[in-house]
Amino acid sequence: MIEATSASRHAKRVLRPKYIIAVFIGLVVVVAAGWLIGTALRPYVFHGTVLQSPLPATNFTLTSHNGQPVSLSDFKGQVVLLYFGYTTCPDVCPTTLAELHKTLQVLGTRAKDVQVMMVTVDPERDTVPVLAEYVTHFDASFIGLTGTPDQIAQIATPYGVAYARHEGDSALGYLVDHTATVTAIDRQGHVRVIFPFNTSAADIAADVEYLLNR
Amino acid sequence: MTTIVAARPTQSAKWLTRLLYIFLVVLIVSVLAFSLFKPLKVLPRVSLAPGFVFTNQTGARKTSDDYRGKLTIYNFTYTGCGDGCPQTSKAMQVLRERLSQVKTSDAPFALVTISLDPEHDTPALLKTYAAQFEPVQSSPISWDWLTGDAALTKYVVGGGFSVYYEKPIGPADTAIRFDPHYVLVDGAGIIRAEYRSANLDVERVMNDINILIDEVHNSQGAGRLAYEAAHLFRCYP
Repeated sequence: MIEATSASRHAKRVLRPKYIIAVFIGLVVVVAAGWLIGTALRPYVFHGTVLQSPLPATNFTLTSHNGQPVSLSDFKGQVVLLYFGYTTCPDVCPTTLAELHKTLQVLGTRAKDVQVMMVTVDPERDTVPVLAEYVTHFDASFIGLTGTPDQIAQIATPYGVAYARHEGDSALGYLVDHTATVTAIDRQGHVRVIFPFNTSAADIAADVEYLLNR
Repeated sequence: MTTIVAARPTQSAKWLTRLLYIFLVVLIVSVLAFSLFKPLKVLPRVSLAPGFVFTNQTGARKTSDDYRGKLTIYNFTYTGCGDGCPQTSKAMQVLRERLSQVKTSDAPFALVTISLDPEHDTPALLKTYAAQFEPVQSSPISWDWLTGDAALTKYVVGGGFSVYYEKPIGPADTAIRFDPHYVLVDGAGIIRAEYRSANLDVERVMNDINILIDEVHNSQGAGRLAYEAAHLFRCYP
């Protein structure tokens, strides 16, 4: 009787460190699992401004720099980076287009699922050949788009783009002030992210990559 | 007998599964709590506000870019808006008074009225018309009355802001028919709320504006993550 009690006491003493180790290992595993699940569930934070409840992007058909009609809907399944600019633009447009070229480089092989488009806000001067020379100078894959002044006005408005002629003393004649944002349209054809002017290629590429993975 | 003993989990494994269960329950409960109790309220990001170039009542050129970084409230009317025409500018006047009492450095406000009759409403006419809504003491909040190209107005107001309006063709009837409509646009140029009512509920608008101010104020660093989660779970008021 006495022997049995001491034996069970002894057993308890032996069990105790085992129990502590089990709890310790358990805690470590739970914390690790928590951290893993936490990072997996953590929502991706876009660099640009994201539209959470996106409406379908306004479709359009314009003339490309190859002289062919091109519609936005032709690019379903690809991420479209849409930009409004013009060829005699002194600084903002070349900077943005160069950054978009860099974005495609950062994306590497995935760049084939991305289409960069520039719609001219100066259709009077930006004819098809002028556009062709300009956009391909930045990247061979870029598409330049033009149309009638009214067509352009109708398309720029829903993309939040404002533009107006500005009679400057520039040697190039008048300037066109315009909104310099880049709009990302996802593979399903929804406006998803707006990048303000001066967003870096790395940031745009990160957001585009996220859109491509969805 | 031996198989049963082998299948019985050891003491540590038991604890491990128990802890994992507790962890999962806590996770699910917190996700549910977030989506049910909505600790953070956000306004949906409805769509892009249209881009435009118009002229205001002083003759200055105003583009949609001029209102970037400001919480802007839009309404749509015309100077011929008389009896039987929804008096949306009256509500704008009340709103302006309320907004001037809001103490915040984060969100400057702007009021914008776009004319539905750009062929008739010149900047000078708009200036005369706007005078009746001006307070005795000048307000710190700008209120632009915009007019411009008729086709662009249709694209911006009819298309971008989805306001229905119709100008009669006959010479006898000059009244423009339109649905009263107010739009709240955030600093990034995104429509965050629309109010389709002749009698604007100013309290509701102020409530929405306060939600936007809180979002601008608190969504930095880790706060931004919480706000993005609130958008993801659609924690709308």
